[in-house]
Amino acid sequence: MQGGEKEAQRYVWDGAIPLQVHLHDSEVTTLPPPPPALILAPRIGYLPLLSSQLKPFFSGALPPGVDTIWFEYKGLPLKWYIPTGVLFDLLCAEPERPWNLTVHFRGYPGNILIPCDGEDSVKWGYINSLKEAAYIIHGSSKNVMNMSQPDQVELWRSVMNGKLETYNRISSKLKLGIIEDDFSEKVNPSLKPPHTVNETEATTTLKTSRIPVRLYLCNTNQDFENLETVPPFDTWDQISYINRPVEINKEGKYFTLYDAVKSILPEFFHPAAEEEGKDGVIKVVRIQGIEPKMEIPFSWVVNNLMNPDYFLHICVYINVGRPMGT
Amino acid sequence: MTSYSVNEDDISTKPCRCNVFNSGARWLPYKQKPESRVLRLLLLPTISPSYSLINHPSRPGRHEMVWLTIFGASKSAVMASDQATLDGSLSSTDFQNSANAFAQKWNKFNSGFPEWSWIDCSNRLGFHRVTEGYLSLQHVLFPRSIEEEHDEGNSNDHQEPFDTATLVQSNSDSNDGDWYDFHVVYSSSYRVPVLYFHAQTSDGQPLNVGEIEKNLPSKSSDVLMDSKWTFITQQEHPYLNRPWYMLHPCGTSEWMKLLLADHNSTDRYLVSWFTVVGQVFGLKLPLEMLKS
Repeated sequence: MQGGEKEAQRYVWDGAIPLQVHLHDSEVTTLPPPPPALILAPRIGYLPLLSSQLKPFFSGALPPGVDTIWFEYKGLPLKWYIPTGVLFDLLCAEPERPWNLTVHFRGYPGNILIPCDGEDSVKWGYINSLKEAAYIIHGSSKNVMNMSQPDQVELWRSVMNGKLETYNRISSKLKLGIIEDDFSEKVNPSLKPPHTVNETEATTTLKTSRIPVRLYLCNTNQDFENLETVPPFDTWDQISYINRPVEINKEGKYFTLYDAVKSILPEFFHPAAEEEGKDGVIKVVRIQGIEPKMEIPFSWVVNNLMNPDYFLHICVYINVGRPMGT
Repeated sequence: MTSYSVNEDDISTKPCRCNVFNSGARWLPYKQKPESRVLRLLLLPTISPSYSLINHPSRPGRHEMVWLTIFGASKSAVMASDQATLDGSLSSTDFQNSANAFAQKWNKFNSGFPEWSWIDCSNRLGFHRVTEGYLSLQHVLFPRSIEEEHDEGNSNDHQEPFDTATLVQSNSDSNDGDWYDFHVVYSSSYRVPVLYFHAQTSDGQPLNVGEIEKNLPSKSSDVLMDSKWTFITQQEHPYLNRPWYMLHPCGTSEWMKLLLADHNSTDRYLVSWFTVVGQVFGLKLPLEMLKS
């Protein structure tokens, strides 16, 4: 199943969002205004990294001044430290292709967004995220902090340029292999000696692993029949961000994506909540643009769909019609 | 060395890009003399060997000696005790308990100062969640450094004597100082408390790093100068969805492990933690809080 595993990771790395980028009206000084830029934005990338392509394209139309690039979608300033693919999954309930974004080079909304001084900020954002993931997995960020300078540079370049082979080569040195892949084990049992289903043995090998997960929760606040009717978000307050590792206690049974989401959002899995409707409160769970079946082993999801910062980013659309537990 | 549970491998000697204590400088293990300014900042609270933290405003020269004492002592403590559970971290439930204990003590012994209060966020998504919230201290006034203004006045005196009046005028305007809000938020990733803060002028303008620096004790601002990127960074506030400044937590469990070496009580965790973190802002704990 090695080949199959690589293939899924390859899909994630090759994934890109077609963008149609418009320069904001207030920054257009030429007539006619510049046409929108069409560009493919890698899913695992970050929006400010598109600056090297967008700036030359729009520079002729810009007023004089200092450029600080930022993006908005339907009035909502986009957080540059969230990977582009996650932003798309999160903000386009029904995928819009091309995705129409507005670019600004002036008037950075510093009260909403963390400052961004170009590639350097993005790089340190990535490294810090990687360090956090390492801490979650190992209880120490040592492996990331001890990375040699050339390795660090090469790792970052591989992420920026989508070079999966280089990334796998360098990142394997960090020894952040997260969990055994139950899925591969099952499909290809010859790889491992068969487990004896023995209670005592199971308890002695009982091990807790912590999986880095960033979960974004969109509360649509109203019932929706299909995703097209979900209104756009005006403010980030409509989206809750939960940065909490998933803890897996191996107890001999498969830990599924369902188990993982349940461990972060136990409120939605109260018997009462599950009875509310056939779909319950959770409407959509989306990872890397797909809506995986909840019965999939979580280990497979993590090993194949995580971002290069070793975090699994999960977008969840919920509908809480009325406050629960009141 | 390898027989200690806390060995030198655990305490990285490499510069860390975002750590209060080895930002840009090195975390020096026991065998090296603490020469970096970072370490002196860390040990600004004069910590007695028995780990109770006492302010000695009149004896600022003791710091380096104390540094050696505490780590010498903690090393033997580490040897003597079973370290399996002492990893310097905290569960989210213990965080809430410890936070409440801390706030209670603070409010009891620090009357006259703004109070810490627990901000309950368990309903933030429109439904109930367990253990969601943070500790908040609002409206702390930081007077502008008088010393610095004095210096500025002097240098201007030499160059443009006529500007002095204007300068004094503007100084007296800002004499009311800057207002700080502090939040202590639990990090599930690092399993430690994290200090977030927001600073603004009396007329509501947010401060930038340069302006914040002027409010900090000189040792903290030295560190800030050494590594602007790492000591204090802007991050998204986990509950407010807005950029706040924060002290990066990636080294916290390392030094908490040492501070708690023979006091593994979660109740006292936040008190011990604050004796170190509060020093960055010159916020000291009353002696009474440190007694069990």
